[in-house]
Amino acid sequence: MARSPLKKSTVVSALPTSAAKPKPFKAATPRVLIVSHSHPQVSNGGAEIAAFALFKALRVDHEAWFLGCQRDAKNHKAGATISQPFSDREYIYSPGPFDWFKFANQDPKFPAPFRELLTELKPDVVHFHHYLNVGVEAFLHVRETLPNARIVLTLHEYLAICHHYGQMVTRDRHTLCHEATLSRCAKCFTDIAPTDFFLRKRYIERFFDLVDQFVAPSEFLAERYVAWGLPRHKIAVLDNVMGLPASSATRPVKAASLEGAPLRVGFFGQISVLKGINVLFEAAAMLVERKNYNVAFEIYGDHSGQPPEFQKDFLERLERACRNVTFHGPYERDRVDVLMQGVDVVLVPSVWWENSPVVIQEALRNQKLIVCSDIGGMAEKVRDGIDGFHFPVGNSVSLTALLKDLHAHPDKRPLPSEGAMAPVTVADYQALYASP
Amino acid sequence: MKKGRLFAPLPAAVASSPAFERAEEGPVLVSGGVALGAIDCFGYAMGAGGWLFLGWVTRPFRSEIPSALEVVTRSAKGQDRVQATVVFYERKDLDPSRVGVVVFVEGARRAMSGLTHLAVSLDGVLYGADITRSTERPADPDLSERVRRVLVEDAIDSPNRQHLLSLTSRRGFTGEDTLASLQDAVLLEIDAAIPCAKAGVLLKGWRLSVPESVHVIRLRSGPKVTVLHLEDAVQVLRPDVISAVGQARGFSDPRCGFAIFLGNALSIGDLTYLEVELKNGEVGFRELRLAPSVGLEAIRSLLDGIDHRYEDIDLAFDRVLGPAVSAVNETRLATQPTVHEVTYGERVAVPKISVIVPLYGRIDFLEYQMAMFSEDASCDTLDLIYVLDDPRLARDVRSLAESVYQRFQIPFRVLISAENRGYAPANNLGLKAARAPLVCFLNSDVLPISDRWLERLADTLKGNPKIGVIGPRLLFEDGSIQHEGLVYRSIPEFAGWTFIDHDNKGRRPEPSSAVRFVPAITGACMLMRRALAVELGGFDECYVIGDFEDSDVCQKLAAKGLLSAVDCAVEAHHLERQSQGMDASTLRMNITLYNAWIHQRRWFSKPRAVNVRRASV
Repeated sequence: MARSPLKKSTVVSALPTSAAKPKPFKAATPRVLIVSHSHPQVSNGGAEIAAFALFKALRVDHEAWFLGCQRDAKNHKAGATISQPFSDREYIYSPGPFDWFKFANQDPKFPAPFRELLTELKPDVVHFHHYLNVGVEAFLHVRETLPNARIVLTLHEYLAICHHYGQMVTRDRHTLCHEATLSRCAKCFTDIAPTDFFLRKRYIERFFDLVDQFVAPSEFLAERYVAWGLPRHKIAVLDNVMGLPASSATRPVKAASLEGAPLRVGFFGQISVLKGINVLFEAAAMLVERKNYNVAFEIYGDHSGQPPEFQKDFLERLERACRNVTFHGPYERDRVDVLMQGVDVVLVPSVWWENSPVVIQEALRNQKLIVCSDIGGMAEKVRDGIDGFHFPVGNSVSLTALLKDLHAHPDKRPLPSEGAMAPVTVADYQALYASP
Repeated sequence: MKKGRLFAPLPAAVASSPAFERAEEGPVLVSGGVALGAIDCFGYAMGAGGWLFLGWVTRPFRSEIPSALEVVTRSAKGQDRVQATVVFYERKDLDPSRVGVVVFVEGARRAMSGLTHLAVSLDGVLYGADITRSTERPADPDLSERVRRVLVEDAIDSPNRQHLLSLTSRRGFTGEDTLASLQDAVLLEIDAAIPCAKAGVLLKGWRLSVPESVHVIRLRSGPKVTVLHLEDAVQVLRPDVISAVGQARGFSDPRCGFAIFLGNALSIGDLTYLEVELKNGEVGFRELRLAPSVGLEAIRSLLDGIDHRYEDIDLAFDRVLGPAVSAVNETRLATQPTVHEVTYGERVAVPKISVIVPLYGRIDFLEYQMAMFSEDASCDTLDLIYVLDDPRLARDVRSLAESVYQRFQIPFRVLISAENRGYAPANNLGLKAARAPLVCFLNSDVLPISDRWLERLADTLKGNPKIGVIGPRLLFEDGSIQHEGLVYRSIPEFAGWTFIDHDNKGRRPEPSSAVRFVPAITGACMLMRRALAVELGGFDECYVIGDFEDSDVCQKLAAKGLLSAVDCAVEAHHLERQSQGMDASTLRMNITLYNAWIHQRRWFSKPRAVNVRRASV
């Protein structure tokens, strides 16, 4: 039986050295299998969109495949563990029982077909975006089936670190968590013992050890994982490739130059507590209290996937809100550039750390001024005073003051700094796959 | 009541007449094969708790009748001698050489059936009376009433007469509790009557009674009668009883609770009740409902709620709890459970080490452990045996095991026991199934840290024939020491018995690759030669749930001159689940104490002399 030959130095030394090294491949054309916990045709979260975008980009001149997952039964073909409902390059795994605590895939029907698929495709690189649904043991399946394949894992959120949906905010009051420790985690989850969090970590680490290359879309996220225990040298900080071509739109020059026109502030994306929607509502209400009608909020996004209590609360807040708040509902991703043209400022008021929010990349591409919380991936991706402005996380008073100021002093808004942040392209990933 | 002389000297003519027949037990008064006496009626008197006979015999030679006499009974099955209370009385309807007789034999209903003859033994002479088919057999209360009438009207006063009058005035146990109706009310409550093996029973309850009022308390169960010596019972403090019922009646001593063990007291299936006899002769009853529990559940109810410290513990365990729990435990383990073996993957042809892991409650440890085993290059030389000691989880463990095998591809077996039997029996089931020359008893919450950890332990073991058992250094999740050897410590609070401590527990480990020789090692991970483990019989099953059996193994090895060792170069995590630690409940504490008691009596000290009584009794 093939055992993980890469981890233990004692074992490696006992094997021919060639077996321990990834097989060299032509740098430009490695065979790549992208694995994601979902598929854009199934759901439209940032991680699966990023994974699929990378697959699409690689497909131009690579042998590339995409393996996604679909937990609902819509496309389920009875008895078929891995099927191809969309195209000959796209595989869909219908997951079974899964342990969401330690990301163990308990579906006995998964390992064999997955290993067969690996044997059939023989990828040089297996690049995982997420390990939900496939399970962390998938790294072992790759290592044992294809000992020379390079295992790449893009880290989304803080999932391995934090059992609370990987968000590193506390469960009860949604306050920011700076470090996961056994006792702190057990305080958040009073029904789970510290030793269980220890077991969880040992389980995840046992399989993370098999990963050759981690990819963190932000420096901030990389630091959190290093603090948790990942070796720094195994992590590359590289943003996700975007699915759409860079927008040709340019920032409208002094959009608010029209005398008396309000500052149009756009909120894009998923509507939830952690995305800071209530910070927006509070700022809007505060402005109304002060009889300031110079800032108008435009909400684009979906709230239907949220818990019922939140949906109720959201609709009630909308009802109470004044005319300075407009809800436009969900939008198709490919319309985002057009929608962003209609606003002066893109607001990212998340009350959790974020990683590398897609909406920030989209705003940067559209050369929109960004106002965001001053923490985590947001603070890193939006340079304060250059790409936009930071405000203290969750602080609607500061946000209100900032927005009033931006309206009153359009000259304070920085000019677009074109090309300052070069978008990540498939070439960056090709280089990463080729690096030793 | 008649007064006067009832007895006359036996005429010499009678004494020398052929009516005297010499028999083994002495002369029997018969006449030509016909007994010189007859029983008119007899039967079982429920209230009196014995057999009553009314009839006549040849007038004996003297009038002083001892309080207890022997009577000889004969039936088709043979002859028997029993103690009886006898009263003679005048029978005007008979010849003066004959006299009326009342005989009372205490005992259970079943004891006398098919009687053909009864004889009172006095001064070596048997005064016989025949019982025939025509002998009346009235039932109570008629029988007792008839005897009472005779005693009142025709018998001369005597202590025996008084005693029988008192007995026949009693109402029998009819299933109704009658303690409250006694002249000196006796409050007696049995909270738990737990049957133990071999017809024993442990009673837990409380009693409040006026001092010196109770003569005796008996447990009656079918033919069996057992006296409760409450002075030998374990005292249990029951302030709740005092405040609920005691205070109102002038009782204040909370030491009114008791636990007592009665061996061979039950006749299963028969009516079982307590009988309280006062010094004034009155009798009251209390039915006993036996707890239906068996096995571990019975052990739990035996030990629950008893809270002793210091030397009281010695008495409690030597006299009551020890024998009771041992009896239940032996019965519990007397039958082997059905074991279903499921094999995953192909059996390792020549395994080096059999690893035996009992599972109880948390089966997900199987998943964690196998994930770690799969990391070890030597795992395909192991004979991995998981023993599910928790039948409730049989189905769950099957589906998890299947998934674990698919994920990690390491062959292993799962033994599913049809019964929950505890740590030692579960390990022993695994030992029976083991095939490798070495066995490792392993807890499910031990996760290896060092590479090739088992191989390295095995190398150290094989390198030193003086080592009987070896284990790794175990660490808590925070990296501090959980185990690097056990040490013994006497705890005064627990009768000075020997308990087990983990050496250096909680300290940061010093880097070491030494092999430590220690008095004992933890059962959480024990590697030994299989032949030796089998020779010892595995873990001793007399320990309940999981305590002390590891030390017991080490003591047995020490007795053979073999050492217990910890190889500090090999490390593993041991999570030491809360459920296995000593928690605050008195039940858990008492289970530990029971195991400590076995361990103590076997390896450290014998019981104290029986005549050491508690001062307070």
